[in-house]
Amino acid sequence: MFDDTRPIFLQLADSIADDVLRGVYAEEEQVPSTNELAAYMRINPATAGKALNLLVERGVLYKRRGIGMFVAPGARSLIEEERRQAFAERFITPLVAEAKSLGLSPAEIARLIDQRYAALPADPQQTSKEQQS
Amino acid sequence: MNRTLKVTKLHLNKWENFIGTPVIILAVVMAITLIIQIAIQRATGISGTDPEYIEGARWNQAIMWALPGFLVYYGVQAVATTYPFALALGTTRRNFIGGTMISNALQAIFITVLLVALLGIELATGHWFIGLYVLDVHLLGAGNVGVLAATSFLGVMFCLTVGGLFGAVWVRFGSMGPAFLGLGAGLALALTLLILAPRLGEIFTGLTGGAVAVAAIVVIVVALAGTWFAMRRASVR
Amino acid sequence: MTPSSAPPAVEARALTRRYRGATALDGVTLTIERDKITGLLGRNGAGKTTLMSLITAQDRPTSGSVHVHGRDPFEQAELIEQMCFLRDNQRYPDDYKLKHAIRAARICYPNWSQETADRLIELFRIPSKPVVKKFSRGQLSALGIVLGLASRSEITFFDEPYLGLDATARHIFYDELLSEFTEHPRTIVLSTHLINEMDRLLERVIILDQGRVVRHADVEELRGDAFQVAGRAAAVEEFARDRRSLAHRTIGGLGTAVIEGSLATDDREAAEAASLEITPVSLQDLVAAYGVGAEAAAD
Repeated sequence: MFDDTRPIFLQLADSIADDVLRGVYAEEEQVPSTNELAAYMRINPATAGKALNLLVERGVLYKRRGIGMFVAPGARSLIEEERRQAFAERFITPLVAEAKSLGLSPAEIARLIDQRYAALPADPQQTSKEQQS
Repeated sequence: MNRTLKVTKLHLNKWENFIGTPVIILAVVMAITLIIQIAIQRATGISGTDPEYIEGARWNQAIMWALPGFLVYYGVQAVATTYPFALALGTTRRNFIGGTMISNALQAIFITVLLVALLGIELATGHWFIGLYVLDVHLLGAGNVGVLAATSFLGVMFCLTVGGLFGAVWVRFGSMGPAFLGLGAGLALALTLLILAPRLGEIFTGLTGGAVAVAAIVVIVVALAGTWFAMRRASVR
Repeated sequence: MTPSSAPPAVEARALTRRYRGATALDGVTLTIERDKITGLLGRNGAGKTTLMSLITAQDRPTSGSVHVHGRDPFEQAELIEQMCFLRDNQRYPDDYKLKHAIRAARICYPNWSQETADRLIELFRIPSKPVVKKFSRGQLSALGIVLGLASRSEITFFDEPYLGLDATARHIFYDELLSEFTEHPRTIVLSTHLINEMDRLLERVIILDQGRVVRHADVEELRGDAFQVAGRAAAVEEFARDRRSLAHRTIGGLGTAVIEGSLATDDREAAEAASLEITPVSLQDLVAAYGVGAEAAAD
């Protein structure tokens, strides 16, 4: 589940953020505790705690004393915004570098993107968003 | 005190060895003595109540030689194997030596009680009904309970403590340790005998039970000290 | 919650242990913090077992000092009885069976939990009939784990506890270790070669090599604290020349080098310019690279 390239707490934080994005945890819903995460992932509790604290710092989760960690209101849009900003760095940069080494021009890249986009199955959440905007 | 007793309990952990083995050894000695003395009675036709026979039978030394072997082994084990294990379980060397001494004393008391009881039975049954002399022997005081008890207690302590010393030396110095110790002790003994040779006759006749007891105690104390010194620097790797 | 002013669980200063002809530990200075799981990593013979032996006062240093909770543990009963260190090759007294070992531990460890022991014995399927001397390597390890976890000692050491255990048993160990640790927090020190599997259980890591401390940091700090370059041998050598390289391999015209330090932008650019491939380095590979030692780096 975790790879060697980055610290585990970052990977875990991303994984929980993914879950929030996908709707596995709704806003105001409680997320697993540090100890539960540690036991489930078979990782050190301190690492699990670091991941949760990072998400609290970023405003994705908030702490209710004595009860646990909950998904903050607006967490989904927060994560989406973060992902959008990271999108270019995470996906576009390597894509462009690889395309260049293969000799593809920006126009050819754009054409490939259009093709792939059209082939995607209709996503109900996405369609409703398009309808809203 | 509590922590010292923990070590004692640790030694008594395999109580089957602690209690069972001396009992078995004594049973074997008795069985062998039984067979031999019956054979003698049959072969010579002398009855068990004949004074000549009794005098000879009282020199039976079987018991003297049967137990020490086991006791020295037990003493060595107590240190050589139980000591590293005890350290792993979290005891100090001081507590280990103290706890081992208490366990040794318990073993000595147990065996003494056993021997005294057996002597009692031997005397009460007219030497096991057939003139069997196992405990009522010269070496153990010829029926004197006090001598038997003192000899037994000191004898057991002696074997266990000396065994323990060899065990500690083994842990500290490895397998060559006990060999050197044995050699050294043997040499020292030989030297002492050599020096005392002209006076040996005098010494033996003047040798009282008390003197032997004192000598045994001295050896026990020296062995204890030696064990402590060996343990202090011993590293269990 | 222990106050931060409390002394650390273990503190070693210039700790040295020499045997005739060999130096097992050479001027080791480190701290092991309370109530954390610390990993002790390094090659065989790096000094891990010696270190644990010195901390638990089973052995004495040649020079330097080691303190447990602020005091020298030698012959200090209150400190020693709070530590549990069973070696990977621990010998048990003759003819001991499982029940004797358990009883012995119950006698000696002040915090012993019999129900934990019973539960773990069943989980690991440790047999009660044969003598411990006849145990398989896995059963012996399982026994060591049971004693270590059920002891609930303040400072518990596990010396390569996984030897001979199959994957299922290892996962049982990790689960039980974590659950015991979360329910009864204590200082745990774990020496291991199975770094890929176990690094996620650790919070702090000490890497030893040839008796010296090489790295001493949080696990998360060490992940991503080195990178590997691969490509033409000459290019690799050029790249490694001005950098701190830990391990360097050349086969024919190809080479790889593990470089210490996180990947900076100019490193990436230099590597790309020389057509070198950059790959991340796992903690396991990092420890292995340190283990290659001074001789290889000098080549």
